[in-house]
Amino acid sequence: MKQSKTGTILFVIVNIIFFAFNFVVIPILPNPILFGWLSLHYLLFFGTAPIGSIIWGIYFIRFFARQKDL
Amino acid sequence: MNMYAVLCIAFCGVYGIFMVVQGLANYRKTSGSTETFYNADRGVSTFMLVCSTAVSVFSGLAFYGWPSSSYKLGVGYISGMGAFCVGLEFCVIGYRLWLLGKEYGFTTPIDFLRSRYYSEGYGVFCAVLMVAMIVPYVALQLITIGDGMNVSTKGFAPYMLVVLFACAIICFHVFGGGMKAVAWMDTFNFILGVGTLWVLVVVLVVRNFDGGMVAVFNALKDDPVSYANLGAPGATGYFNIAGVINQALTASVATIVWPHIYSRCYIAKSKKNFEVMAWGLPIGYLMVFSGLILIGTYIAPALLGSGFTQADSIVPYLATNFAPPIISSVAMLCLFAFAISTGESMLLSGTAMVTKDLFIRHRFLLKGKDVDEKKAVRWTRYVVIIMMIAMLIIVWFRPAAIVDYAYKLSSPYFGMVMPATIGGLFWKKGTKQGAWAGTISGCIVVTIGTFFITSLPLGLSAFSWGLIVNAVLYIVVSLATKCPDEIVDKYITRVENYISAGTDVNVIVGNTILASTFRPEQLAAK
Repeated sequence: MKQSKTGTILFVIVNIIFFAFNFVVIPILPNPILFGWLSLHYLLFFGTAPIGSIIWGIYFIRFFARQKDL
Repeated sequence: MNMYAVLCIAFCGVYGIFMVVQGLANYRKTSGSTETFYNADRGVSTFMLVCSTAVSVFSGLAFYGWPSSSYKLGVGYISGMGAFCVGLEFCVIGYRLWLLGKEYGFTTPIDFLRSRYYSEGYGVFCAVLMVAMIVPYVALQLITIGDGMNVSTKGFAPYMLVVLFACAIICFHVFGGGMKAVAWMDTFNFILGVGTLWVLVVVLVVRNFDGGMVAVFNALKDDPVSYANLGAPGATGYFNIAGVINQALTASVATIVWPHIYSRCYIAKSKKNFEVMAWGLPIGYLMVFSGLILIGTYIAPALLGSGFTQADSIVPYLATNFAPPIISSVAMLCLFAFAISTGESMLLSGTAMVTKDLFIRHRFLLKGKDVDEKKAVRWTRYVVIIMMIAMLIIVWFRPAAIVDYAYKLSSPYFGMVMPATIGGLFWKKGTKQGAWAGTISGCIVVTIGTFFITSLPLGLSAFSWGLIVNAVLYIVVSLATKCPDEIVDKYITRVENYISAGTDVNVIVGNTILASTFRPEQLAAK
């Protein structure tokens, strides 16, 4: 079964936005303290893990479903 | 003897004995073939591969370095996770390497680089470069264990005795069980390391602050340096955009081509491993590094203020001065788990390159002589012992220059095979000449930028500039030269066909030459 080209392009775009946000946007955002202790930068830097996990998980579960196992 | 020493020695002693027994229990199973010894028969399960990969990256330097560096530089240090991109890398890069490994019998990073760039010389160069960095890097793991135990036992455990102990258990474990034992132990180490780390975090907060993390924040908020370190760019201003990119490239993006991580791309049992790595690895990293950074940016500044002079030993210092002895011992166990897992994974990877890529290949295979599998495993075991002795010598004399160069150059030098690896997997025009030009120029730039010209343009690090120069030269020289069609077909077209069509590689490929017996001169003859 062929991989969907649109899905791949969309995946690449989402990743570019994801990494640009991490490397370029977070360092220049203001850094308010949330819940009386948590800095926004700390939350955002680590918050990318579950978000990345969801993005890559969704894409690659579908991707590998189309691959024959060796 | 103080209670800290009693518990630390007891915990670590039991851990060490367990490890040696587990390694030697696999001795017979792994003696028959190099495939079993190096690759665990390419049968490592999904959960084990996630744990093994994650914990192999969390070295003793992570356990020591991340809290102390984030204490000094701030939460921007988290950018060293590179937005947790390793999950993505394993699926994009690792999956192709796995397919090629299955197809051509690749075991080490050198197998792919040598074959893809049809050059014995390039293979030797990369092997020597990696092994030269592995030896001092593993030695550094032993040094962190020695230092950590010394601080955790309040000076009772002598540095050299601890190092000898750690060295012996790593040696026996790898010697006995190869990758089978290492992957199993890594899984155990991951669970142990994450568990003990969070026990330490919780105890430090609950025992020293009345009011949880809000009280921790209140204790540090009036210190301008500690407060500034809660965000980027931090009190020193290091983590601006360039600093974040530098950190991400060095500590995360390039880890996929660290030799012991590279090798893990070959040992997966099935495609399912990669599917789970995509979402599982970021979570595994999160579980560890959020705790380490919490110690460095919140707990340590709240307890010690911002000017603590022994920042490099901040974790054992906090454990021995702000937690009960049993927790200090637990923290020591955590250091053991992280440092030993990285040390033995690197050692195994290094011995595979020395034995298979340098000795066996050049002494026997290229001269047309076959090597008995059992004999190859026996030689590998000898090399394990020889390399451990070399590491002990480094640890014994602890020459500042070697420790310094290992710390500064290991990751950047490992990373210099990254453009050739990615280009080799995805770019049909990548040539041997391009790989040589890129890798060598990258190493030169890294060396100059690290030791001679420390202020580089745009605020980028020596490694970032090394990668840029490396990639540019790789592309330019490759465009000016030509890659043989046979190579393109073997290493790119077939994999792409498989991935896009979901067809069995073996069907497309037909008869192929095993990488371990493939020789560039065959190509030249054609």
